[in-house]
Amino acid sequence: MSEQNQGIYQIPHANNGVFDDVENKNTLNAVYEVYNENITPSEELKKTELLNPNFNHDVIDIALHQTNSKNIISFEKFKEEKQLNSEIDDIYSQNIIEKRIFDPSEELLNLSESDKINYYPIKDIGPLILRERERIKSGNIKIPGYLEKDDKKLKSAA
Amino acid sequence: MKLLIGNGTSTTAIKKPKKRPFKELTDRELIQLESEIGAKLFGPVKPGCRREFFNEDPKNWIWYEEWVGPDKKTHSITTRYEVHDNGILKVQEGKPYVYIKGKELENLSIAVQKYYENIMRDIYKRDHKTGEPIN
Repeated sequence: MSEQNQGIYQIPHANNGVFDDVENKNTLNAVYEVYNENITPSEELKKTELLNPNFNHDVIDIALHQTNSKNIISFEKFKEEKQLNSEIDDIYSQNIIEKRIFDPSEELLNLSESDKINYYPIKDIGPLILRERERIKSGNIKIPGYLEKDDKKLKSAA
Repeated sequence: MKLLIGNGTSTTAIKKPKKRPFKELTDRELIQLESEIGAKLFGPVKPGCRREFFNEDPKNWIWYEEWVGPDKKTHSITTRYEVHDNGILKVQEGKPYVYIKGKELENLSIAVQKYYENIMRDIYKRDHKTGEPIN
């Protein structure tokens, strides 16, 4: 495994929970995922370990914020406590799809690094769309405005 | 897929159902609505031509192009992009299957992301980043 391909496995170690390199996007990706997907670090750890037993546990340590607590804290609180600079805000505000943890199985891909970045949104979005369709079909949720708007147009045209 | 794309003779790809409420739409109808948006991602379609671009299911993206050639006959090509664990496989009839790379993969990725953003906003009324309803 080349150094370039190691992704989050080569993150700089976080001293006392503070990023040595706030521009290390992969590190931020991992933390973002843990917080934003609202899954427990233990679940994340389990999932990641299933995918790659060599996963660098520093990522989970950072996500846990070295609180020795298994409770999730909000990303906002995380930022506040660690006084992370605005660079994180910039990255945080980018598209969620860019913030995925790089799946260790990517090593199976015969793709360049830039190709991998383009591959994952395609892989991820299909299931998200299915979820929206299922949500509508469940009958519990209406889509506001869409057809009602059409009705108004039809009435005004008439 | 044939049902979704049609036989090439229809003049309008999308017919919004008159039934209310919207929640009664089927998968096929939702996909048709999505495809109406997807087709617009690649610029205007020339008169006499037809384009569909949609997510068929979590593992398949479909691009359909239909045009009238110099021979006055209607031609069409369907491209299926299959999502595999080791890449995106491009499937076209009569052509070798290939895993796309480089600019083609980048373009598809951009199209897929714009598709998702637009259908979430225009059809499902949700923020594509957070999934939260748009007020």
